[in-house]
Amino acid sequence: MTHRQTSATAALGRLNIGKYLYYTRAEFMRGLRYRANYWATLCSSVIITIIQWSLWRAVYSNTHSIAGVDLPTMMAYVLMGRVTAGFLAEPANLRIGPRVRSGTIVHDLVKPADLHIQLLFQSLGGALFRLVSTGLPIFLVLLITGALTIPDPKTIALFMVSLAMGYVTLFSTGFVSGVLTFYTKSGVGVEHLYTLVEFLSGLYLPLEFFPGWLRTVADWLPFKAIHYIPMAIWSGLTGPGEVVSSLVSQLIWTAIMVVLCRAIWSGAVRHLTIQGG
Amino acid sequence: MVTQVSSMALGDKQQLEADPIIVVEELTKIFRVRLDGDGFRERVKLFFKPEYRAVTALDSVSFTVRRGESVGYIGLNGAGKSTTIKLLCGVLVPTSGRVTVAGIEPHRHRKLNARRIGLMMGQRTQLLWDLPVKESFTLLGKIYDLDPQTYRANRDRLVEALGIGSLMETPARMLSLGQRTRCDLALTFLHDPAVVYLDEPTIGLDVFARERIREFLLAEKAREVTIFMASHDLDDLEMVTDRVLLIHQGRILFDGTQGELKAMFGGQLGSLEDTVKRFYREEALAQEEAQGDAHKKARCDEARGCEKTPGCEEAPERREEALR
Repeated sequence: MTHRQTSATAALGRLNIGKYLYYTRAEFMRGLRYRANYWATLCSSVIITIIQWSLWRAVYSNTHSIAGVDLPTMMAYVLMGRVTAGFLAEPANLRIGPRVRSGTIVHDLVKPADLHIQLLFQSLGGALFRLVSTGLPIFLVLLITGALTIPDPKTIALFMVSLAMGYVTLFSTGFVSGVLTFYTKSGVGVEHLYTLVEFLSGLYLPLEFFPGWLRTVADWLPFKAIHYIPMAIWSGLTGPGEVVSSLVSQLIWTAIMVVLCRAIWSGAVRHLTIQGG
Repeated sequence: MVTQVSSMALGDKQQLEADPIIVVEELTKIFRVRLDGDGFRERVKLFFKPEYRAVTALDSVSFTVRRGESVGYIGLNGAGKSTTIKLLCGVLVPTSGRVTVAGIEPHRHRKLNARRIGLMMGQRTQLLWDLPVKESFTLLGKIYDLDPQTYRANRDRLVEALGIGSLMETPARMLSLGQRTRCDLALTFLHDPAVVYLDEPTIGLDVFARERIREFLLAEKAREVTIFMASHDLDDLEMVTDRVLLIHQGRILFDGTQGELKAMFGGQLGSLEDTVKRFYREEALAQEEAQGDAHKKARCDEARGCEKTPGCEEAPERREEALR
């Protein structure tokens, strides 16, 4: 027991984040290789953005406010959601099961790197690639056409912090379910749950639109920290007085998810090293 | 038939004890395997109430490898070769017994051990699949925290030795198997590992590619790298390694030099391959006889007179046939 504690502390002490950025770099570069994939993603993102824009205009055509949310707020929430959709997309390649079955997990485990942190930074590379290549052009077009307006610098700064935490929570959700594929021996069940996660994160609708019971469920789950909290800050749905408490709750959820990842990962490593997968 | 050749010269033995880098003592690894069951009812039952059976992959294995030595690890499929390598890498925890590599137990200090060792699995690449080969070098240089001078010197030396300079800009997925293997080997040696484990490094390669890899390994051996190499290609082992370990069904059957192995059969067999084949046949026969003896004895007793039982005369002929 003492041994495990000392090695854990030592591992944290040796954790050199700089070197993990090379995984981010490699994954970003990988995104650049697939041109057809890129153009397809960009096209579908543009189309979905246009659909969302016209859909919400139609919904609001006869009313000023739905569930206490007015059209400009709603538009800011939804359109910023489209801009960051690639950044906050379900991270791929987190499934540990196939790595175990194909045996490449051995390569992962004989490197002086932690696979959990490695995948966090690797996925970040893909997320940043999609943000820059797809999110940014859409953002610029929305700004030029006036569909989106820029809030005050303080809100922007808080939004960026919140978005970063959103990414960590999203990654952690994917990582936990990815490690579960190792135990279930099949990733399918877990993957189908992801649409539910997206819904509960507020990707399709802000939590204000949920019926009371569902809102309560969503409030007691970590997923709102992925999408709802950053978008609500950007759009002003979270009022200036509530931003700090909102960020604190997001920080708590993010921390819980990171701790959960560590626990489940060290459990999986123990299982792997004793049972061999 | 357990043969522990102990005819090593005294000088060698002292040296071995003086500078051992890998010490394996009575290492045992038992896996728990879930039973699948026969037929529908059985499977349903096992779904609700799983049962397990213990599979002994390694059974009290002991050996020592000294610094700078190169050892070949021979065994049939499923003999326990990969399990041994995983235990040496710290990726598996021993059920009992002890492993130390350069003074530490790998599974207790997996990350520290990882800096000192290199692992190459012929069937699993560690190259970044979609990126040019040079990116894999950059990444691993960073992961192992190599200082820029060491990194550049090592990379240039390995690229030169394996002739992969022209492949550096090519994405790994476009490499041929031979090219990919050479790149993987270079990556394995990039961080100056004290010990390198090679699991089937030349699998599926043509004669020229294998020759190139053997030459490379001989050159690395001259640099005092300890090489532990499992292979089915006994020609590779014959050329590269000083000593061989023969593992069969989780037990070490032979530990000694190739000369000693060949000498066991009076030296009349030329290659290591013939010697090893002969060794396994002898072993299989010995097992068969041990199992068969009790059975045959019962049959003979029953027939009241051994001469009249055809099964009793069969044995010597079968033996000859099997050895041919």
